[in-house]
Amino acid sequence: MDASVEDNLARLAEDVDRYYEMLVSLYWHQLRLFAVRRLGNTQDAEDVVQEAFMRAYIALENYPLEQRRNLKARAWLYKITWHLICNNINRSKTALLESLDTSEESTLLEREDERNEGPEDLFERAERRQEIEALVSSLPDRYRTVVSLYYFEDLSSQEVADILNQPVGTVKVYVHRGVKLLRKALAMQSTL
Amino acid sequence: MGYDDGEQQRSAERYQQAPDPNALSSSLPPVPPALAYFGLGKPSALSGLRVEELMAMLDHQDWSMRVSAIRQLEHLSAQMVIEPLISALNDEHKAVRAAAARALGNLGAEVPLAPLVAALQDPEWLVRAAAVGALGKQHTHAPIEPLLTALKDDDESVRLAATKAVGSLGERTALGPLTAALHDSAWSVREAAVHALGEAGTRIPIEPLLIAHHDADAAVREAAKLVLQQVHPEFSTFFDEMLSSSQLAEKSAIQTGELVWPVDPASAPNELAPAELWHVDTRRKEDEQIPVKASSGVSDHEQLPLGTPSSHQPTLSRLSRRKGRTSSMAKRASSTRLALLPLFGRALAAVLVLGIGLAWLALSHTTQTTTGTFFRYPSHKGGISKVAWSAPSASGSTEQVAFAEADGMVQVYDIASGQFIKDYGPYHVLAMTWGASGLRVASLEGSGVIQLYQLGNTTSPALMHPISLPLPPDSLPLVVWSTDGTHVAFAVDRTISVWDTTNQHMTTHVGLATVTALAWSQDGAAIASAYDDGKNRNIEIWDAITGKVTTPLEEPYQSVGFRVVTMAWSPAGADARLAYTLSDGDVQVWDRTLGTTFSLNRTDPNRAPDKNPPGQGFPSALAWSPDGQRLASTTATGVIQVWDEAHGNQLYTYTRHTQPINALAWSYDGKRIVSVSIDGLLLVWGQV
Repeated sequence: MDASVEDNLARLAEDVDRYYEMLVSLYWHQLRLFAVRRLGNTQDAEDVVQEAFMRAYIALENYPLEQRRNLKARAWLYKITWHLICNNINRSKTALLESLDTSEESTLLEREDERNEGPEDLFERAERRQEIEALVSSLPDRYRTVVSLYYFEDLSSQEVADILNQPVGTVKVYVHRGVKLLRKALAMQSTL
Repeated sequence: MGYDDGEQQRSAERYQQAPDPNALSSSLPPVPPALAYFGLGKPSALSGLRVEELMAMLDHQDWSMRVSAIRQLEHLSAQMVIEPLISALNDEHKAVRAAAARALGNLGAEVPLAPLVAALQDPEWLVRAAAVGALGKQHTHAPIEPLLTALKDDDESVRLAATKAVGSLGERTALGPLTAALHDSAWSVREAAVHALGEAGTRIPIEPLLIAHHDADAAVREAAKLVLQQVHPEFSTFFDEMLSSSQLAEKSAIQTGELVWPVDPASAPNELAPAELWHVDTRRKEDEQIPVKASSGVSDHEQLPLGTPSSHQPTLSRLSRRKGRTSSMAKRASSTRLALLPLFGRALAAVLVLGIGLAWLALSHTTQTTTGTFFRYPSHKGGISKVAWSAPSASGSTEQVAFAEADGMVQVYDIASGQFIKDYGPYHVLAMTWGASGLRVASLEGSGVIQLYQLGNTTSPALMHPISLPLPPDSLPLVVWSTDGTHVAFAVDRTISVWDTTNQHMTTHVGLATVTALAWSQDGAAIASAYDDGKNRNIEIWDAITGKVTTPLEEPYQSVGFRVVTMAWSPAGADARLAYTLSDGDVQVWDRTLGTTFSLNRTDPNRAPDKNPPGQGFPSALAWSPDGQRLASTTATGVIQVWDEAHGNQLYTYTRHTQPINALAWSYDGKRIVSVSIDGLLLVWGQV
């Protein structure tokens, strides 16, 4: 994530309302997509993200100014959302999503820079991404979450570690193992 | 974690707003509910409206318009908006109620607090959190008790707001509950507690912050580090060294594929991701592989995760040997070196982790066990039941202790010299005191007869007076001397008798149920008695002279969740504070002036073994220092904890006993404590 975005946020730290509006405009959609991927249900995902932002507002209200200034907002929001997703999963007693959302809706929420590509490129990229996502979804839980956050959510190892409340070394090891398994699976696909 | 289900209000609140007959809102673009809930995201279309128009908008059928109107009203600071805002606290939509609470908080000191306190009972966490925040903004007017109650709310956002509010009370801040919040299950609350404690500056001891510095959550650790550097800058160098060591160890572990865990994985909050996600099993599992066909051609070792033991993962050297038929000598040598690298890395990591652990232990020792033992007496007669410290006026010295051994002998020792002074008895000692009146014991002489003796420094004990009590067979009365030794209280079942040794007058008080604990007030005017009828457990305060329940400051009874096993009344503050230990190990302080009760050790996992179902308790003792500034309590494992009375912080612990504590007493100068464990070990100790 561009550090200048967080710098801009820090400049709004004195005004909680403006800070919060900026947070929502920046991260609402990517958190929603993240939640959809994890929960497999758009409605549940929107509820989770809405609650995450409401809790974020309460927290921001109560944070000292200096803490708002130094907040790594994106990772912080992911952390709040991640905890709510886990609670949602625990509540519903359902297993973590086995097949990712590869619906048309999720491709509509791709990153901005992908919208300038041609239809064929876009289709190929989306198809490729769906293939990778499908492979990631078949990873064991412990690797799937880390790999998904690291690659699809574009979070750093440290941010993933903070979100999942794990040592950064553990995250790196799991990313390494997960990618190794993915490579193996991709190699297998190409030989079939 | 406290995330509750709440009122999700799904589709109706998503991006589209309710149909709006008022053109004012229909022209506005839809906003995510996350913004609408706080009256944000829309152009300020209501900003030009007059107060009356804004107040009329509070009846708008669209809840988001009502929220927006409230956001405008809160900037007006007009007295006339208070009443409508209070009414809005009963709105059908939680966002409106929350906005109203928030607005009232922003209006200042003229706002009545009762509606906000009532809003703390709202079923929605969003409203409760807003109400807590609003109360916290009242600062000097903020009611403490509701905020302390909110610290125990089911929802973490409410607790977070309460933590901030309690921390902003300045001199009135209750540091004990804030310290307890460092053990909250939610990382956000623990983080807020660190910041709130930081607000108190050097008033707080360093120990809770050190614990937070090793929290399972990175945000809490970071907050603790910042606060420690601000409040205790002398520790910053140490932390930097700790951090660099940790990073180095972690790096080594990564190189070897070792998984590094937090300092205290057991303390990981229950809010975390599903446990199985992070279960570290170094053995390979079937489900760790993407399903592949057996004929895929992928070799076994390529599928193995890093860092698995040799029994489950072939080491590189073994793999080399397997392939060695075609390998060169150089390759084998290289493989051997590679095989040694992980071992070296692990050894290095182990050494570093051990070093960090030792450093932490050293630090813990420095901060926790600044105590020394001055006298030790292991009884070989089956135990010691009672202990008392000499009063200056009684012996001319504050360095003598008396204790009653299981054989009935009362021994007196000089602590400074370690010399035996004298023994008395044998008695069946029920209670002992060594106040200004001298050393006195209450002894059970026969069925239903209790004898009082004046021991002191006389050559022969003086028989004071025999007292006959109707004792049930095989029962022992609960007996407690008053502080000055002039009165003694006896409890049998639910009847409590008070004997005045100065005029041989008896007062009787019939309690609510079976008495489980008694405590005299410092001035001897009142008695606190605790009851347990099997269903209800209460503490009652009554007049020791008349036997009547005293007119209480607030209410006569204090209901408690578990049986009271020991009780002690603070000698300071006009008998306002009563401390007691419950059978679940909880040590609470009831401040009758403030009408508050808080737990000192609620989150201590080792405080007692028998919480569920409520048991009969465990041997325990409780004693205030003579100046009433410190409270010594004991755990089921024999640890003695000394608390700061003003803030509820743990000052230090004493861990030389390995068995539960029978009794303890402070010296009259408040510098020493004598403690006795059930194995008969008597220790005199104090800060050094």
